[in-house]
Amino acid sequence: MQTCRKISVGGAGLAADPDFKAEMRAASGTDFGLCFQCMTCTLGCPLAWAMDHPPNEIVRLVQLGLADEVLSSKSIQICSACETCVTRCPNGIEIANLVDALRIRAFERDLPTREPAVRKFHRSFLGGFRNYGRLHEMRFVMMLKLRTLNLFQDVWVGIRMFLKGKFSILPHKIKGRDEVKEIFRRTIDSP
Amino acid sequence: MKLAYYPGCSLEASAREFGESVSAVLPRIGVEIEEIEDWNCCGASSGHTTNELLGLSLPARIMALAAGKGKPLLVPCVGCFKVLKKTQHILRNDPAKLARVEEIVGRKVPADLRIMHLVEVFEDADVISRIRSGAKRPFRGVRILPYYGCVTLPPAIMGISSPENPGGLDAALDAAGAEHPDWPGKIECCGASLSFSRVDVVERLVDRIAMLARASGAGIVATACPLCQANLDMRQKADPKIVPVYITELIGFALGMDEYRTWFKRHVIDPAPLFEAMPA
Repeated sequence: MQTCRKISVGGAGLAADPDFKAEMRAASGTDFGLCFQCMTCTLGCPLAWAMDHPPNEIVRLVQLGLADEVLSSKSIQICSACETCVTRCPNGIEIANLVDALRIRAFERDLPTREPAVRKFHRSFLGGFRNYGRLHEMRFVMMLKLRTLNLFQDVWVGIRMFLKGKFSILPHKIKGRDEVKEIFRRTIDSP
Repeated sequence: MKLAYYPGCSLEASAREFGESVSAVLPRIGVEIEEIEDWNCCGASSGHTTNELLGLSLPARIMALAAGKGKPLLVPCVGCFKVLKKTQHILRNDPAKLARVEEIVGRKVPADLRIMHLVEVFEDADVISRIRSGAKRPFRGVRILPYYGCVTLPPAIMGISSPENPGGLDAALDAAGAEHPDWPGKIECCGASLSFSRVDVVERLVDRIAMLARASGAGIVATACPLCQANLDMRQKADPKIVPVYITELIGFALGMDEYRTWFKRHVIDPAPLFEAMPA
């Protein structure tokens, strides 16, 4: 069980960023100012136990402008986007959209994170299809292994998947792969 | 029912038996599917969590390709389905963003396309009656639990009826003759792609789902998502293990199709012994 991080506002290294709240309001498109801390999101969250700040605290940290603390959190990486919180929030706050806005900010600026494995996963996954159009699972898994250096984890699973005809050695290249490359070039590759 | 079809990357690779059983079984129960041409990866969780426009543009290209078919788009993977539905929701409510995405993709994106998940196909009375009448090998007295995962959430965007207690898989299992009691694990999260980065987290989630299934007196759960299936198939630690099987494989078996042998061979937990021991 993950223990929640205790923080004290105004303490060392916890300066508030005065623009952060407005920026995240614009990027997420959801009015998290409506949160009255009922904690329904956290009670229903299947992953709160693995987070360093449960969903209600994520909302509070953004309201307070504590950008560094929230952007480096495990929570924004651990969230699986199941959207149970969004379903149950009495005030209609789209917490999953807020979490997406936070992780996009952290990814774009390559900010320090307390959950680095998830970001390595995303980089590897994107690398697994950007040149082909469809995911080449073999390439994706190899890239992930090189990034995490977990070289031996799931090796047997991988071999069995290969023998069962699930992993192909060569990628499937779609005809429109240049369109997909262009999408990457004009979005994630553009500053 | 005539549908355009987006398999998604998993159904050609790690969830090959799902793709094979969808293609083989749906035409037998009155659902004609036509695969869209030259489709791309939807971006999955790695799209919408790394760059907003990337996360919207990849699914937008798929929607543009599907528009040419003039039919609702069937998406069997919950990951792809949610990405597509969410993209559609965002683009429908933000004309400026839609224009920007159309410019990046270089195609007209139909914000009004009907996008359906497989569980919605089983809300159709005709499909259900065809399963019932075609079931040569019904699961009499066998308890199979419907496991939906997060497909219905959030309801305002996914648009599937009874979001916290959905019924499509229940209806299909019922028509195939199985016992499918209510159980509390129905819409629990499997951990999705954390299976690649935080195995420990996924193990705990699936062990809990398996515990709930055992407590409900079942040894089999029916799935309708490559991630739910893979996580239950590969990440259970506690014994005895619950056997996860795709809903289309189950229907195929009930219809008397022998292709189930090929499909089951691709699983990590082999369902064949359990199914072949069932009274005919």
